[in-house]
Amino acid sequence: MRVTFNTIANNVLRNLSNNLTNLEKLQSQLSSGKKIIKPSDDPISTSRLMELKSTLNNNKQYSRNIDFLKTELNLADRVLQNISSTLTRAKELAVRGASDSLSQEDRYAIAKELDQLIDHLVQLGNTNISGRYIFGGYKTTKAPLERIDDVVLYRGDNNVRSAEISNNVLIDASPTGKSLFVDSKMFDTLISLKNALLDGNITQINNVVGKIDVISDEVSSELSSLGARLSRIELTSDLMSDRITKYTDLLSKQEDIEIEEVVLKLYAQQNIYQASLIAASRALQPSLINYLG
Amino acid sequence: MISTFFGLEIARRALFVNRSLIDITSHNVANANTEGYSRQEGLVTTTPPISLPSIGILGTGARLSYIRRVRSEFLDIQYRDENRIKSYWDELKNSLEEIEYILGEPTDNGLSSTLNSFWNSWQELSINPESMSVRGSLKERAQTLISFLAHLRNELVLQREQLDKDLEIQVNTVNDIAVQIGALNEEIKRAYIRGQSPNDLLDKRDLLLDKLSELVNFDVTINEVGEAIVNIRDHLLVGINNMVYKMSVSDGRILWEDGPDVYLGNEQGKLSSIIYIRDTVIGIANDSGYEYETGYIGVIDRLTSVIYERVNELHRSGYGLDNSTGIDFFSLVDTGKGIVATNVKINDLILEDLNKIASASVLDAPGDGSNALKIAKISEEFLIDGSFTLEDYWRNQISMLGIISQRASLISNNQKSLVDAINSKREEISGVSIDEEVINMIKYQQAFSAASRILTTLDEMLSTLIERTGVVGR
Repeated sequence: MRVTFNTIANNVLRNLSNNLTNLEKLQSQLSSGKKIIKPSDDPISTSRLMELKSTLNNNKQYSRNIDFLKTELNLADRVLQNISSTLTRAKELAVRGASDSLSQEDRYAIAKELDQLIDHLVQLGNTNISGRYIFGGYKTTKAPLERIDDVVLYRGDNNVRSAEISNNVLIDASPTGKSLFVDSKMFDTLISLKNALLDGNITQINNVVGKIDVISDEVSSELSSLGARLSRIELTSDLMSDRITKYTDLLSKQEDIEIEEVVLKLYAQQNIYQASLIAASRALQPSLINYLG
Repeated sequence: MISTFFGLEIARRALFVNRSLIDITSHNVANANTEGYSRQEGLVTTTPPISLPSIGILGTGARLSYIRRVRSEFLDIQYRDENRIKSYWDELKNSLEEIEYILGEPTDNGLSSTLNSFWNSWQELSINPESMSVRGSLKERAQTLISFLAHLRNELVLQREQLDKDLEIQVNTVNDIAVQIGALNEEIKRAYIRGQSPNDLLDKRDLLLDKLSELVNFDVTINEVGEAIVNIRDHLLVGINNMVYKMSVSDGRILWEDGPDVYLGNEQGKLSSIIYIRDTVIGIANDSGYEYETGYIGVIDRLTSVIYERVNELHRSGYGLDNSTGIDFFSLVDTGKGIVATNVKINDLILEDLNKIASASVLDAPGDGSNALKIAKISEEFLIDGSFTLEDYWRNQISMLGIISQRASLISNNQKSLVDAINSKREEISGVSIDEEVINMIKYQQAFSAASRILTTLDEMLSTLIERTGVVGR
């Protein structure tokens, strides 16, 4: 084979540029920390990467939805417990007020306390999270309960809000004031109790005691359904954070370089490049002319 | 009987031949790095001998009969065939890489993430429909989505315009080369008619043909007077007697000056690659909106119009915090044009009053986020051909781009090795080796010195003959 200076020069140039290209690739991987910079680096992984990222983002959103719902339901749970104990207190007051040994003054005093309990219940019914009333159904922007003398009006609606906590799994938020207060006739009952106390109508008072029990039962059943929802959310929440961890991990495996591996490769490639530079300097030595007198 | 001065003539020939050989060597060395140059060698033959009766045949010296270039035409053909394919895939690879960077996947700020954020904002609104800050951030994300889609489209359109300019430049290059080949043909023909080989001109023409092979697929035949006849498919580019047909770009098509389209073929040279990228990969920017899929502009337009139509459809059926209904979420900037990203904005009514974002499915229901959830769920609807979600569709497009780009890069690398190999074979045959030239130089110098010495010797002999003879007896 006939070898000319240009043959060698071209070879050297080609090899140097190949080595430099490889070096550049490793360096850009190292500086970006990513295996895949453009789809053609690995089309299949790119597609998986995009899918993983979007699943991860969706799960993060579900996770936010869960946190949001959890905050509300925990609050609703506390409020319902408070309602429940308030009702117990009301029942106690009713039982006491039914006693023959009480004077009418005493009954007035009890009626006064009961009045305050009613106000307290209205307040509980108007619980809000930064201005968002949780017992108003869809009508969350204004207080659902309003007391005008001896009438308590419900201004909410009968729609139960819900939130998506994982793909196509919708969980109800707080129960509506309609089911809590209106359907159970809570306020009607308590106000009639108050009036009975004021009137000293003991039969009527005794009558109401049984009704309060029924109402309490209804609140309890709401409470247990709330508890069931909360534990379901808790489960999903754990699942979701597991999933997020898993996907983050998978994503990192697909997307991120193994630093040790790349650094090692980089060193090897640097050595190759240096070797090729040395080889080049030898190969490109001058010709016969340098040795002629 | 031979002449007294016959020896001088042989020495003169020797001097002339060896000096000419040194000149050829010198020319080779001078052009050692000239692109397209093939080394030349002198063909030295003996001059016709003289027959001396009853003695025999006496040689009469040497002459330089021919100067030829050392070159393999077969390798030229091979080179051009492979180079054409190489430059096609090279161009494709570079353009596809640019498109990959434009589309920006799979980074965290690609369309996929932007779209995802947009749907998640609706999710967020579905649990927080009363919140003005959530509405505000939804508006921002929607704006981001629109401007990102518009940005992608603009970049692609820009790329397309760049390719149009490129095409113009490359077509002019073809014309230039054709004109130069035509002119060289004339000069070469003159030398051929004189029976000479115009080596340097042939090298120049071959170099031009090499360059032409980067751009188009052509056939070349050399006729008996040395003219190169260049055909592209069955249309002449360069004919005999310096007849050159030019081409020009009109409406994005390449036409011959006498009318017909220039046939470029598939995967042949830069011109066909530019046209492929422009029309098939990038596609046509049609301001009236998506009709059918032409390249990535079509893909962007399709996504834009599906998002636009579907979000609007659901949005119209919902209710805002102020009980407004029947309002579009997106609207067009210029109603005379179609749904393309650059012509889409958020409805002014919504921009003026975020309460009008229809998160609720029923009247008087500020806490109802079910319509927002429905809109968020568009991301799961099979809106593309009834079997792909928007994201699936986009992902498929991206991985398709990745696959063809990867393929282009592979083929272009292989083709480069092939062309390099052919080139080094060419260099092996036609390249100038300095060592070789130096050795030749020494050879010719020695021969020249020897011939000079012979001349001196003959001169002395003759001077002895002329000046010293006949002196006796004087």
